[in-house]
Amino acid sequence: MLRKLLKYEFASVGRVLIPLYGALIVLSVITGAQLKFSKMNEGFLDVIFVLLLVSGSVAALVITAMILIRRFSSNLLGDEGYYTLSIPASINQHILSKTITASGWALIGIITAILIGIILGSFAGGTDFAPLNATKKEKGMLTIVILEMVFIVLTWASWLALKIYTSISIGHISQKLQGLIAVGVFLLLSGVESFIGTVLIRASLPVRNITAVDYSFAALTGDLFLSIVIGLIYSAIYFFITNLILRKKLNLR
Amino acid sequence: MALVETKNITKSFGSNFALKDINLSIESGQIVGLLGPNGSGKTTLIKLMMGLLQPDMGSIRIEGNEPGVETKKISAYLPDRIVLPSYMTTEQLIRMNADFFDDFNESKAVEMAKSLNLDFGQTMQKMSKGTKEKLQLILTMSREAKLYLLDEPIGGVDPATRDYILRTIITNYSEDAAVIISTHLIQDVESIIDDVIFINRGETVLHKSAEEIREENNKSVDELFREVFKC
Repeated sequence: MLRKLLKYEFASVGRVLIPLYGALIVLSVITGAQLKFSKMNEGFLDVIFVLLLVSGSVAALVITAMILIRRFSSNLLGDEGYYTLSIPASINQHILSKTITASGWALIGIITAILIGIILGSFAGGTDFAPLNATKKEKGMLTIVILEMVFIVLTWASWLALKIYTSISIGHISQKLQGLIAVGVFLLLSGVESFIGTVLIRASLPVRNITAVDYSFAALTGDLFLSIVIGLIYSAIYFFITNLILRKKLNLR
Repeated sequence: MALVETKNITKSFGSNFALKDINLSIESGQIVGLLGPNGSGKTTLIKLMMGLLQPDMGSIRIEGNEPGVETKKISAYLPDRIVLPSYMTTEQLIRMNADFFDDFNESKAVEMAKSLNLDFGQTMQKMSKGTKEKLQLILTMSREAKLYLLDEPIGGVDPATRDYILRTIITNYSEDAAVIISTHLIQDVESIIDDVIFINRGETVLHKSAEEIREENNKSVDELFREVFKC
């Protein structure tokens, strides 16, 4: 059932985001070409295209976040929830499908941003891509770092998505001011996370020599791995709370 | 074993009681009219059966299970509002239901949609309210479920559509299934219901067969309803 839920989740989000990201890539090609081949008197056009690309990218970020939040709030807790929650799937599966979709699209968004950077870079004449000249060992290390970065994007996107889901779910318990309560809970959870983070960093300072100049590859991969673990722990906590609320306190009114 | 059994179900919203101590037993093979005025608790009871609300007290069993994955496999639910994604077409919605529900009869849905001249490529947002309601009913009644929970299926539609809906209900449920129809339009459903549950202010006032009501009171269900719920 999770596979089926994912199929419709990705399709629902993709029908808006695929054209949006596609348009941004096309715009980046046009902008890159304009910047490369523009004549001296076309400075105004250059500025217009760059502004379009920047504002388009910001808009895409906002739209992505809004769509992913709405997929949870309206598809589960709004009118569509009457249909979604009549499907023979567990609450676990519903939350998982939303979380996987959110983190998947976050990754696609970041890949799109990197692609835009590469397109603009290639127009600017940056054809010398350093990793291609790296040794076999360096390429191996780079692969590990890239893989870890991908996992960080996935786990941290899940963490953020689930924190938002928890906030919306807690707001949903209330009879009134559900949106306002959700925002309040989100800020509160962020504050608690920030406090825990500060305490942990202070506690780890005496045992870590962070001023060391030779910040080794092992230390880098270790820190990236730690980031993944932190993302997973917070994701698990928020998943548990959201699941508990939707199982025990679900109130579609 | 009864198909649906509720024991001492109580549900409140804030300080307002929606349901108080509801005890019901519904057998397979009948159409049950869940009848009561607006705000009497009919929708709340159906939502509890679907697991969309959680009771404050008491328990609900559908074929021996609490509302959940197993009961949703055998329950076809028609809510009292439009709930399907507005960007999807008739064809996509039929396919989605076939994906999610093992008991969904796709060819039956296509046949019913054709008989109503529904446009398979039209999205929900471009349909009229009546067409949306018909499509939701088609999707619900195309399931070969053991329990159909129909919340106000004839409220707010024209008499011709009303007739179509009632005809669809009668001709599309199997003998071993139960249909629970919540409505306050008693006259329209009287001819099709076997069993009657009167509900008022969250309490069951009466639970009898339609036949018994007519014999004992020498009145139609509609007449008795008007007497019981006289303002």
